Amino acid sequence: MFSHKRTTYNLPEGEIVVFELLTRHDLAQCATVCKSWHAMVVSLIWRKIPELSSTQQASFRQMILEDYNQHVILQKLPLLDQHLFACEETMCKLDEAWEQLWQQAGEPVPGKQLAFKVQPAAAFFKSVPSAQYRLLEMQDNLWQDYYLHDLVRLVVLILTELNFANSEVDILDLRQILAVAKELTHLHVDICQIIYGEEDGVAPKIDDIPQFRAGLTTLIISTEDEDIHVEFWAGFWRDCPNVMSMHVGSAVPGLVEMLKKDVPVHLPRLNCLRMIRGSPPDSYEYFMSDDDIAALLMAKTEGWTVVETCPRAQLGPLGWSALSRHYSTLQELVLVPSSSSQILVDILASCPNLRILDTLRANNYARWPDFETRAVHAEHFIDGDKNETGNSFRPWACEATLQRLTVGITGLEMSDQGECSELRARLCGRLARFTRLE
Amino acid sequence: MPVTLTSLDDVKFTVDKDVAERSILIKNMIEDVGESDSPIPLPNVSSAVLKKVIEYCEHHRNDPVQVQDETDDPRKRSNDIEEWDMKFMAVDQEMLFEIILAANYLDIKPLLDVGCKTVANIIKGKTPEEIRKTFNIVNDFTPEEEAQIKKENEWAEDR
Repeated sequence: MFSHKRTTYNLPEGEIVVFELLTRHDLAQCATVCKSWHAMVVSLIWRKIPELSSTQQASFRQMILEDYNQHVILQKLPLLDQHLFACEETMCKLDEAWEQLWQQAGEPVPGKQLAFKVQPAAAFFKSVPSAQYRLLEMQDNLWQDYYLHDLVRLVVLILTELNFANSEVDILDLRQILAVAKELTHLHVDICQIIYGEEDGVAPKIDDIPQFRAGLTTLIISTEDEDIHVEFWAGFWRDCPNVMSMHVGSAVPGLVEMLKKDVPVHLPRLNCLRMIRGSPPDSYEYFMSDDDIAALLMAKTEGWTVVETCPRAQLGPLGWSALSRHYSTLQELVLVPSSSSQILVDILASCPNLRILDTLRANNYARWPDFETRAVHAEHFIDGDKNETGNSFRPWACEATLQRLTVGITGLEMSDQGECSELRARLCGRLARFTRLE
Repeated sequence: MPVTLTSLDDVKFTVDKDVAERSILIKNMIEDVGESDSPIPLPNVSSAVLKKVIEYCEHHRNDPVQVQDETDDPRKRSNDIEEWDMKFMAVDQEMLFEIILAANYLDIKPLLDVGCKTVANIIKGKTPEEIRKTFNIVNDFTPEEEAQIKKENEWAEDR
């Protein structure tokens, strides 16, 4: 409604009511009056799309298509989302426009594809947070029959990242989306529930939609749906030879075994294993056990470069032992929580390529406040340099490569007295030896 | 039972209760406080504006109370304004906006509607330049931006 602040003779802020009374034509005039008016009326104008005559539709279409070439269309999509999704009539009228748009995008015309790539469609999903959900909430017939289908195809076509976080997805929709997602490199399936449609219990096949598989580099599977057929996911990764990074959120029955078997055979380039859930966990059913983690780590005899664990997938003795086989290749290690100070020191001392060691990525894990286990004791940190000459640091393997180190350091008392300050000085000396530490 | 209203500039107006209660704000205040002789302060409304608003309420004292309709679609509402209201709204722009703000503050929906319709009617049929002139608005678009916006919205114009 109205605000009581206003500048003289300027319409009060938020005076949408007045604009709502205006016709399309008058709104178009208002849009060019000044920036604040433009901001207020532009979405109202778009609401008028359903009443367009055929000539005006042609003109609208022209505008859409021209804008498309100017990248402006992406800014307009949120408006389309707001007003068109809710308006079936409009969808019909726009069908044709999208068809043209789709055809243009569908043909690999250099430059035109590029136009969209400049701002990958992932940005579209981000700019319209509701879009992905709406997309999935759509009634079947809308999904099938209206322009939305084309719009989605268009968006998905150039999509490089697909995220079904926390939504329900019909497996057939998923199929449809994947069928056109040629450029997909990141697939994030973090869904609470997959709807299998009528053929309940029958694992849907997806092996007939291979377009994006070769390009896929990141696969995020973190679902807790017990009904998920492990074969379904296996069907995914078996044709994705270039997947380098996999997030496995929970130990759904059978998943670990399947991965263990498939990693060496089907996923030769996989080197990043993140045992985390993408979104804040609502239920913790399938904790990864030490066994599971060890099994996954052992699936490659060597060569993991990135390993991440979280409180629901904690390394135990088996996991540590499995991890230690990969010390030579590890570049990034995220351990929340870590196990002990001694192990952290061990890692620091033994991993020649380690760039990142993070044990405090803990904001998400406030429930695990046990700081001690994420910390390196200052005594350990300076071990080896107690020698009087001061020059005999035992070098840690990662000194030349480590760029980021987030660990707690304990045992330092906030005092400037004697031993403590000496300890701190030595600690600083130690840190100074990490030549690339940022 | 008359009600006394006090304006921003401390002018007192005594009006009948049913007139005052065209304002939902005042109606609620009276209900909350109960019958009382003490004047109701309206610190957001000047006496000149309050006088106009009371004039409107007196004229419309017998109108049926408008039921707030959730599905009220402003697009379907007619822009017609009753003749009396039209004359009533024939004031300078400053006053017009003051009335709208007061109607909003006092929660007098029909008056607010009339005010908005009046402003909408002023905008109608004008070019952007004429609108700017009427409302004394500075054009903060660059010529290029203005051309772009015009082009983007061309489809909506009558031709």
